[in-house]
Amino acid sequence: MNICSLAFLACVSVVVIVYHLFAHARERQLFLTTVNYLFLSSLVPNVQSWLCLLFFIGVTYAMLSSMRARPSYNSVLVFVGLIVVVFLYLKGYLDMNEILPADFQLGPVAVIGLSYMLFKFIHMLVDLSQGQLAAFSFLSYANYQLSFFTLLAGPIQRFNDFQRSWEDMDAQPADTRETLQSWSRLLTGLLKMGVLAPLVEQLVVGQDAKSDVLQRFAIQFYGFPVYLYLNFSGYTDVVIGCGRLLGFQLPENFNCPYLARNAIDFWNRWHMTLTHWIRDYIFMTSYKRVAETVPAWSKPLGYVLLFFSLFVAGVWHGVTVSFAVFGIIHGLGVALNQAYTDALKAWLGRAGLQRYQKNCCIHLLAVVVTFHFVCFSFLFFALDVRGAWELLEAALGQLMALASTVEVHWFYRASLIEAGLVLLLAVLRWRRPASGGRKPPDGPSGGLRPPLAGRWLYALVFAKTALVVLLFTAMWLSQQKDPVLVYMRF
Amino acid sequence: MCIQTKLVRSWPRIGPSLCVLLTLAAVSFLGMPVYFLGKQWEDERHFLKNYRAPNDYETQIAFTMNYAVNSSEKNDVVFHGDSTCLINLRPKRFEELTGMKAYNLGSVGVIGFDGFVWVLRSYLEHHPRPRALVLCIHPRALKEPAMGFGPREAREPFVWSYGPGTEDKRPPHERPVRDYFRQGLWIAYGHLTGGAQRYANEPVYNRQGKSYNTLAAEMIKERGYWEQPGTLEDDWRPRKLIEEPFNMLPGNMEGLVELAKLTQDNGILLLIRIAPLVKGDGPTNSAALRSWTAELEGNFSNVIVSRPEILHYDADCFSDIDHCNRKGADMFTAFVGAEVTKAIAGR
Repeated sequence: MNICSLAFLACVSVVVIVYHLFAHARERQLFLTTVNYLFLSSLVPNVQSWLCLLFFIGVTYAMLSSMRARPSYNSVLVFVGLIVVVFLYLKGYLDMNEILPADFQLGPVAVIGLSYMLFKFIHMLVDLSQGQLAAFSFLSYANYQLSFFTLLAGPIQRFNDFQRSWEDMDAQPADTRETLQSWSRLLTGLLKMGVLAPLVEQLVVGQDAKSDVLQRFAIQFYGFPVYLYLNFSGYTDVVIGCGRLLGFQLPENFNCPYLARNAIDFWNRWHMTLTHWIRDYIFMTSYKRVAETVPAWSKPLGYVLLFFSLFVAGVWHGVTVSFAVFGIIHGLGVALNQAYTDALKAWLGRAGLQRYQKNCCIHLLAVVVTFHFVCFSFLFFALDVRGAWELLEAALGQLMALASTVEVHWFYRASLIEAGLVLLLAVLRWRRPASGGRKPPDGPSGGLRPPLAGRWLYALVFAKTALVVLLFTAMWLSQQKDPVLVYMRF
Repeated sequence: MCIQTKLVRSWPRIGPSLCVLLTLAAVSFLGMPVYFLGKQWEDERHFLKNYRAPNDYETQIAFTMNYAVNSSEKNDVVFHGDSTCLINLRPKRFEELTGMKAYNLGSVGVIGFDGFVWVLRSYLEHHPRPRALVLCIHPRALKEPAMGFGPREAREPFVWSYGPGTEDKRPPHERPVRDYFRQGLWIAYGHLTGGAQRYANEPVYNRQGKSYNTLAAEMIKERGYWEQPGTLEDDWRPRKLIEEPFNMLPGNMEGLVELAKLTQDNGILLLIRIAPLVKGDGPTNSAALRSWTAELEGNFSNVIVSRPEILHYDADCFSDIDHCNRKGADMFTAFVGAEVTKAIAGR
């Protein structure tokens, strides 16, 4: 089932109503399991895919059970190594058909959300080995891995958080306001993903190859990141709203990523749960080892590990040269950013660095530079290396030619408008009331301020539902294909 | 726990969700009549839309079918075929030259040979049978499928509205719910804005700003002939479409055989005449065409193939590479007139 559809909206409302008609947690658990199964069965294309999925869940559960019985660091390494091989095989990255006998050769399989399942499994395995994981059963584990609101593309929820909600099963629902806010968020997500993102995508994809190269470049350069953000954050809004309606608090995945002031800050705002996972299970684990083994080299090696972590994040999207380039750009960005911050700290001192970071002009400049850095990297996300390079080369060539003339071209005007928009966004952001020095992530508590009265919230949800129905119908009537979640293929 | 207690406890979740569900249900309920309106419109087999002016293909098909079904006029000779028939044969000129009453039932190639059969069948159901039927087609019509001569949006509704009437001829829908819903919205819009009557007075695409009604009046006056003015540009090039080898499409040949059978069963002389081409265009080796037409003549006693199979006229007789202007139409009509007179006299 397409998550970005009126059918999904109708199903969610029915599921929420029926779910809350069950009185006991056990009944609700079984009902949610059924819903998860039905959702999954709409996405699994054939028997072989089902078998692969069941194999993955079964094997990982067996590994976790074994780890629970006898926790050891070596077992973690072995299990992770084994499951990564299985993952690479199922994803088709390892072509083993030549080695395997005919009966074991893999046909066309599509295991939805496999990488997210791998992340969750590694997290459980590591936390279990450290004695930090809550108790789990096969039912809770399978639902954790396959719950319909995190199956497709996260967010990567931690098991202990899931388990709390799984045991509670929304026994004491919050007030109506919270439910309305959750619906409001879900509907906003649908509008972002189903209406705004396709409009921007049309602008980017439907470009005329004969149009002005600078215009094409500008639309690709700025349009694709906007599309990707609307698509993925829209999806995240939908699933967070869904989860909350069933009593599951999912972690946030976005926090105004294009207002980040540097590459590290960007990754703390974009696909946050993936960043946190990489930080906890790749960077911190390896950095701890390095710091213990060669403390004198820990700092420079820390930069290398930062680079490596972000490179992995890039390559995770796909084993292609362009995603490797994407990873290298971000790896370099993050490592250089950390080195620059360390150098500044050494030069200005801690107080001087704080003053530097609070300077409005520097902040604004940093936001603009980071935004362009991110847009540049997304060129390699959207296009193959050759395509991105050709577009860049052509645009730079024309830009150079234009720079030698005194004519004020539309490109400069567009840059001015864009700078103005960034400035406006930055000002709006600074004018928001701060809470503890850090803006809370978008969400029911953060998204609707000042608080609306109950009846206005009802009106808002009603209006948003009507808008979603109207716009989705219009899109449905005018368009051939349904909106697709970009991150679903990773 | 009784249902009331459950509801009270879960109301903070159920209430707003019910609100969303009811909004969706209400909209779906409102949308259903629109869907059925769109479906009903198709079930009723309307050919012309009631919410826009017909395009040039639709206009021609509708006009031809209108004459075939709604008239009962007696004609001695009927011209039938694709757009080369419609534009290259002038019944009034034919009548002047031969004294026989004629009508041009030609339409567009996109209806295909099966379409030619349905049109003729409808004509024969409502008119006295003519003495001769002249089938005039472009050589391309023999070797290419009907879809190559126009949009599928013209052929599919034609097949559904005027074809054999079986369910398998219904226009294919990849997503029927969406298609009927969209159509329903348009039909409702059409009803509200004046319907087919209004759009019959609005300009038809590619017809010099003339409306369906104006064109129909002109064609009635010209007995089904449509004049295409202008002269072929000097820089025209022969098209690869009818280059060698000139092989005929089996499906088209089957249609032609069916047409021959229909005329034979009704005792009508069928004269097959390939439309003239510009000098320098068309196949140089028509051996396959020649052998096939000879075979057809051998199989059906009422069939005569006008020869030479490929006629060539000067470029100034054409308005475009396929169609004659008035000068070419008069020349071609005179040629066909002589052929028809000879054929009828020979019988």
